[in-house]
Amino acid sequence: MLKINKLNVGVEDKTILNDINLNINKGELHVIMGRNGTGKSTLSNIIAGKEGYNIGGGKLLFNNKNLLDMSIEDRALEGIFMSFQYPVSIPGLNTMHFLRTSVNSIRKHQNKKEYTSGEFIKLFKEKLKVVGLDESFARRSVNDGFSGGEKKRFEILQMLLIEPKLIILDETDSGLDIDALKIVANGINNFKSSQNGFLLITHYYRIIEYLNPNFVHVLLDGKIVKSGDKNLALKLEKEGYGWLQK
Amino acid sequence: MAGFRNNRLVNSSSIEKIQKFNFIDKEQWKYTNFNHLSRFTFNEHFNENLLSIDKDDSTDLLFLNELLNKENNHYLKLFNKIIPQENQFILYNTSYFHNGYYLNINKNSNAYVLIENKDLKSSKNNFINDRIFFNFNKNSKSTIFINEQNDEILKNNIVYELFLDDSSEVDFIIYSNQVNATKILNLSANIKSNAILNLYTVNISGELIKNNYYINLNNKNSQCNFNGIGLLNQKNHIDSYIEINHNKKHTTSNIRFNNVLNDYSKGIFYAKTTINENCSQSEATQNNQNMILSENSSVNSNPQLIINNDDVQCAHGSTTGEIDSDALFYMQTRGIGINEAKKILINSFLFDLVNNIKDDNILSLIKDNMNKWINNVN
Repeated sequence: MLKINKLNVGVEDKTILNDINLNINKGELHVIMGRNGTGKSTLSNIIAGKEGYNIGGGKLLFNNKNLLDMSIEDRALEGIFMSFQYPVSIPGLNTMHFLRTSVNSIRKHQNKKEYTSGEFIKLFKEKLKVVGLDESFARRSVNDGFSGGEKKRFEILQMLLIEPKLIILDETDSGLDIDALKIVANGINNFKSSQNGFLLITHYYRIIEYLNPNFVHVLLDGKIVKSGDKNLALKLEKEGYGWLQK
Repeated sequence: MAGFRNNRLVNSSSIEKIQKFNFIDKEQWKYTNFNHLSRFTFNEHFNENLLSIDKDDSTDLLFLNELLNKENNHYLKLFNKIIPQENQFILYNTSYFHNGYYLNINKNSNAYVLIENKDLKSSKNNFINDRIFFNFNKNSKSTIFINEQNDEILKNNIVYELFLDDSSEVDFIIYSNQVNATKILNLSANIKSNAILNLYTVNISGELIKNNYYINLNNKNSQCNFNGIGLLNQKNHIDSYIEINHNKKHTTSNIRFNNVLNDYSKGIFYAKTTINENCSQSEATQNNQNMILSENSSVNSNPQLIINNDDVQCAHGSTTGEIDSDALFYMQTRGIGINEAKKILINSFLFDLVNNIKDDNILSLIKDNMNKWINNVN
């Protein structure tokens, strides 16, 4: 589904990602771990299409389409979704209005019937329950005045409504208490299927425990230096990253 | 220059000031050049037949010229006393208004008044002097909707005086969409105990618009909530000055004013809230946000708080910037195209300021027209 081949990315003269190779197939959940400032968020931003980076070579394909030629919104319409590390607040923009616009825009692109207002309200309320948010969120502005945990749950709510094919979770677990973490992990597990793929960026083992990933990769200084399974994450949790640089 | 119409209202020092036409001696006048207006005259008479007023039985409509001709008329106790004799335009209006309205909203009533200027026309070199006094009696609840939609090359010099008696509540909505207008508005309100003025002013376009608002919170628990919106494009110039005076304790004022500026337009926001010495337990906020869509548009923002009492809660702030690129990116990652995302963000930036308008028809008219403007943004 997602194929990254020898991808090099920089900002101004500084190299951030160096010869990255990564394939994510349907039904797989990949985890990327690494110290602060090693390029993890850059990788998710590049997949989502954020501007301001220099692509120094390599390929980035999604279902064999070249993502580097596609606009941000076209990537989303094709099925890529990014859960933000720091979701932006938009005062004055009603959550339900925002999400209905988003979901219907994507459904239209996929030749699916757009939701009527009534249909969407019903669906929205249903999914609010899944992520443990109450109905008052239907009247609030996007991320405005939300706590850290509410923002992350609202990101998962969007994923559940949009039903994307490739989901990038950029530190979705940071700032969550134990109960909220369980809710978020359950939301991800319930949505995970043989038809979609996940890329999770995290610093901590605790969410990995819930999610049972297929692969764990370590990103250091812009390079994937090691790949393994869940046990690699456990080793990193215990020993840190120092042993990888010896 | 024609003789003064209202000699009784104009004293000799006012006449001297008017004839000099050099009113720009205060901070709030320095951001707009009015010199070119000296070639116009201000003695065109206000023709009441051209301004349409729609009201119900809760409101008495009286004519100012008839009231002025009666000695010791109790209606006129406050007339021309609420508006400060602060600038030349007010003096012109007082000197030359020919007619005008006195709207008396009865006590304990629920009133709705619609004032429209769609048939108003001014001659080439002359300003029309509109004058209306609004008297909101005790415990009345009113919606006043001033709907200014006029494509004429209109020159208008307006004075509104508002008196809010105890426990009255007013939604006063001025919607102005006049692409060719040169408009000077001076509005002043005296607000008594437990009375609330919710003032909404939405200005879409305008060649030269100068709005001055003077609000006096004169008794305990009086309150003013000011919500302003400016949508400017081409060479529009909208200059708003808001002065709020807290004259008694336990008084509250909130100013929110957002502008969106495109093309070569210019916006000015200047607010001065003064909390006087004896006004403990008062609250005042000022918030001005400006969204700049073009590198050729500009804005001056000056939110001033003058606080002469320690036991108060006050806050003020001002931001000016382009559309939030992080918010745009966020929306695009949700499959919303960049142009639509921009429009949604402009919409979100503005609509919170008018959402508290209680009359659904007025709210939807204003929203529809704001959306038309937003949809034309490139």
